[in-house]
Amino acid sequence: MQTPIINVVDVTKEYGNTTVLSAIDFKLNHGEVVALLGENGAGKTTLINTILGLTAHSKGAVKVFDADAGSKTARQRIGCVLQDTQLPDTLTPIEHLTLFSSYYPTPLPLEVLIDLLSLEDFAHRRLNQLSGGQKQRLYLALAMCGDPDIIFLDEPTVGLDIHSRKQLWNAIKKLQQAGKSIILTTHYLEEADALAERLVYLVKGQIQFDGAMSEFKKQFNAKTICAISDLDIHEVDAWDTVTAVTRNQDRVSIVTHHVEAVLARLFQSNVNLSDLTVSSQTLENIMYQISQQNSDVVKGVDQ
Amino acid sequence: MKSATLRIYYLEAKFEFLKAIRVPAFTLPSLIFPAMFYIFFGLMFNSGSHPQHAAYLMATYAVFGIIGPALFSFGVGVAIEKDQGWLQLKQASPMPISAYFFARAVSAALFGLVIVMLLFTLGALFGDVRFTHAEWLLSLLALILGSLPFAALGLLLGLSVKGQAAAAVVNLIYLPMAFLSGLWLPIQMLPDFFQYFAWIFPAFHLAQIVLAIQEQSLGYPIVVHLLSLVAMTLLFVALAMRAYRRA
Repeated sequence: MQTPIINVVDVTKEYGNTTVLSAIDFKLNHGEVVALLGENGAGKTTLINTILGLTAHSKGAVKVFDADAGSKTARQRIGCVLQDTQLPDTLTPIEHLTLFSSYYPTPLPLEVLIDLLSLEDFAHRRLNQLSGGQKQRLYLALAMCGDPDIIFLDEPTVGLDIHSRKQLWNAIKKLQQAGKSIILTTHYLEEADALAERLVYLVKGQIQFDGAMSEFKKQFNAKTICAISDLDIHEVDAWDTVTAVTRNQDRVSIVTHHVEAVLARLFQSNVNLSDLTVSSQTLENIMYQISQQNSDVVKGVDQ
Repeated sequence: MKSATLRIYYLEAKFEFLKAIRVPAFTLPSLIFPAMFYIFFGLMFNSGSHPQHAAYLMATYAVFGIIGPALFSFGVGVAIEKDQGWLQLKQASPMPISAYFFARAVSAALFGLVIVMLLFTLGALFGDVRFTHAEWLLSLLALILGSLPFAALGLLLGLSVKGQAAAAVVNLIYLPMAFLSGLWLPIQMLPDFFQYFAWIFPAFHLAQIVLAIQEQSLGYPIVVHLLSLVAMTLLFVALAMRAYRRA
């Protein structure tokens, strides 16, 4: 078994009476790309800031390459794009990169960075003349300039148009191919799906799910069969292959983990079916389901 | 110190300075204001008949001039870069954060130097101010080093205040302090009470030190003013460090 390069053990973070992170255990292995998902206020940014050593935790231990989070050793091997960063407007990308590169013992050559993130067109322009996408690529270049082993991307593509986002994705995939370990937070589930193979889902400061993206989808992999039909929903609901049935006027929706079996039984039972569709759950739906389940649990406790 | 570390300090200072001079609309007025005030109140008002008066106000407007860049670079500059997340990105990087503050101090001192030289030139040419070489040099040295307490005060403000409010807060401290410390009008012209009240302001102590060089201070021992400045600086730095950990 390989030793994790980031090891978060039983970390709790409290601001006054509010618990922002609660007993978090998290390990990152070399070369992994992890997407950190969760609603606003779930604790994603706090967790990242804790690993970066920017925020002190109330309890637990955080190690980066066996060094303390925030120590110089840790900081030399991490690069990051933080949320909503704005750089001084009057300097150029080249100037920012020259300065930032000087912080690291073995920086990447500027030409390599410029090439990697396609900065050449605007490398000598002042920042106030750059577009959002161009700035975001510069931020990624700043994260890369020390040739770090781990890269943190806290919502790297927020507010970008689809073209800039795709460009940034390509850049991130290149880093992944170069063997970098990446932790990214995002609001775009599509983005997590496209970039990460492992997913950590935070709900109210707790890790609700931590595993492979495919596993995540499988776990919540119910499909929906939709058709116009006059079938008796109570009868279908009693089938043990069916999770839930709902009727909306003449349209029936059946949620199931066993699409084929349910379809076969429907056809056998000779009910009339038209406009039949079968659809997978989107990641978005799954998230919604989890947060619903979670609020049910909370309600249960309240009562 | 290793050369790689020195390079960080050098580059940090270089780009800090570039950043400032690339916003001339902001930088030029701050360079010209003290000289302009001095021309009005120290030279024209006085019309050169009292070289002592011209020398006195040259010193106090130089103190006024040196405080501006220090207070603004730290108070406003740090507040804005803190809000923009730039400071945080630096904290997450392996740079020594002292290099960031060093760079701002150097940049503020350079702007202070320009302001002081402008005032000295005006005083010597049009105010008939005659100093020995030692007096000129000592005044300059006291002024440049004297910017440090204000850098510390600015840092404390910059770390404590929101970027949008910073300029207002800094002005609210800078301008009344300048007046009440006797930088615009000689402190003797203020009512007695204010001459004692002024002791709480670092600007008063710096002005008294610079005036003592030309033997126009109120006459308290220099050491008292020096110790007051050191104590205030330490207090500001300690409070700033506390604010930094919270920022």
